[in-house]
Amino acid sequence: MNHALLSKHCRTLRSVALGFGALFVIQPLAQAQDQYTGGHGDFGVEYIDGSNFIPHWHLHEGAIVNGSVLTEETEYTTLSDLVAVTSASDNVTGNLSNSGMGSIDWLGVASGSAVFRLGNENFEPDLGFGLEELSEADWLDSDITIRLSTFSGPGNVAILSGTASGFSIYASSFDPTSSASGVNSWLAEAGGHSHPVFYFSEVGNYNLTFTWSGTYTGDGAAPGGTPVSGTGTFGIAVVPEPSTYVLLGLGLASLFFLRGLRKTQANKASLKP
Amino acid sequence: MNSPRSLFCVLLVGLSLFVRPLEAQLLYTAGHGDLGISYTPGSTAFGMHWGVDAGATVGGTTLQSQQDYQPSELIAWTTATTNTPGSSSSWLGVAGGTSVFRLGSESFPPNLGFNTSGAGIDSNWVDSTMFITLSSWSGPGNVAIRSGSTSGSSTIFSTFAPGVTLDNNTWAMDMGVGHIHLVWYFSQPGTYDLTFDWASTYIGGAFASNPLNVTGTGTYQFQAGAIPEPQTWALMLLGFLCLIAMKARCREVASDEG
Repeated sequence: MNHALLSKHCRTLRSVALGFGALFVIQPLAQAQDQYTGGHGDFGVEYIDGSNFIPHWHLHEGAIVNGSVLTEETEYTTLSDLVAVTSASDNVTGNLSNSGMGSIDWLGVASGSAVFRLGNENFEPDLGFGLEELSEADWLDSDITIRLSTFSGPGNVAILSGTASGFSIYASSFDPTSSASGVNSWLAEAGGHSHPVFYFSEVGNYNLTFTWSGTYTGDGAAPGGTPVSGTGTFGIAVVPEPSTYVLLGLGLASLFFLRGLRKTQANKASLKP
Repeated sequence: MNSPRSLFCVLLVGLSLFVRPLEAQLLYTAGHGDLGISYTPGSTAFGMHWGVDAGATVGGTTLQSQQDYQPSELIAWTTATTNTPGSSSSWLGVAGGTSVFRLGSESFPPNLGFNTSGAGIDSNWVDSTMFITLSSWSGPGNVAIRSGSTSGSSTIFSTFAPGVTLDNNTWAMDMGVGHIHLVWYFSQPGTYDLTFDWASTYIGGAFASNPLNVTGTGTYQFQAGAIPEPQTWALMLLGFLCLIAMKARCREVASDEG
């Protein structure tokens, strides 16, 4: 192996080291928080008379947090204590294209693109919106409005009612006007829970801020009802699929092998008279 | 002296007759569960089951892990009641405001839904759609299953008036959602049998160019009210103790007279 080739391998090694460094820069936020990776959970809200809604993570028994199965229902009221982590990927294609032009207008990607997804048992975690803690009889028309009010992340996020024909776009960070309401909001029923489909266009850490609002008509409500709202920011970490890590590991192992080879060659060269 | 004994025997026999039908099946009374399916690619039939999650109450005990049961192994039992919305005369055959039995959420247990996750990812099925049909039913009253609890909610299934449902008791469930919880109403106390037919077309893998029609049918039993609640059992126990006391008193009187 000549010197030029060895130098090239050294440069490659440095590049990979930088790549790994970048990868671990993505992770710190997730590492500081409990990681919710599987099972059933909801973005929940609680209402205590006279207050605002109190958003929280509401995880059910059987959900997986930090690699362990929860043995009882658990709530995280400090929202930053938990992050939902997904590596499930899916292709957005076919009837999901709403432009008829081969692009996915609600996520800013081309039709057929591989993106990340969560919200059911096949695309974990099985995360939804839970309003079971609100009694339907206490809210005007049993309606609660949920809105994706702010968003940050390396790519875009979209929330859909489903994937069959006639699905609704609940929210789109790429183009809020493409949502059914035009303002990234949708109606949900107090007392119930629903699982929409979440898509993310890129790997990285996202913060989704939701605002819940409704009109309280239960005991002690003002004439005509008392407006109630609440806002919470939830973290979602989209990480590469495990197979990606395996590939990276293989690449690193190959580089170590090359480095060993280089040392052997160098030793042999130094021993020559 | 024979009278209390006879009464006791009659009571005991009556009680055992009442309880016997329930012994063969487990009662699912609370927590999260679904009417679910399983699927092996290439098969033309779905496997049908109740999929009940950890934390649910089955047979009086809390499940420690998710369990699947054959349709005939469980009875979903609700004692929760609600007043119907104003439109209920058209889909349940009772006037608005009538007290009926209900299930399908945490507030109206058991928290039962429909789940297609066992069929695999939604894009393997034509239009990500599962057609679920309420094909037959029996029971002392009517059943309606709706998208929500208000007058304006959609009626998905109705034994009273299939014609008012979205598509004559057939529901196109969006498999992208995975599982959905509807609102179940039962107009009268008693035991109901509901048969659901599931149908979709598989286009995954090798079947992309040769779609495969897949179906499945399951009959599920529901109990609305009627089974004595704990307070009722307590009253019956009290009555039983009174009978024992009476028997002892009769013995005393008899021995006094003797």
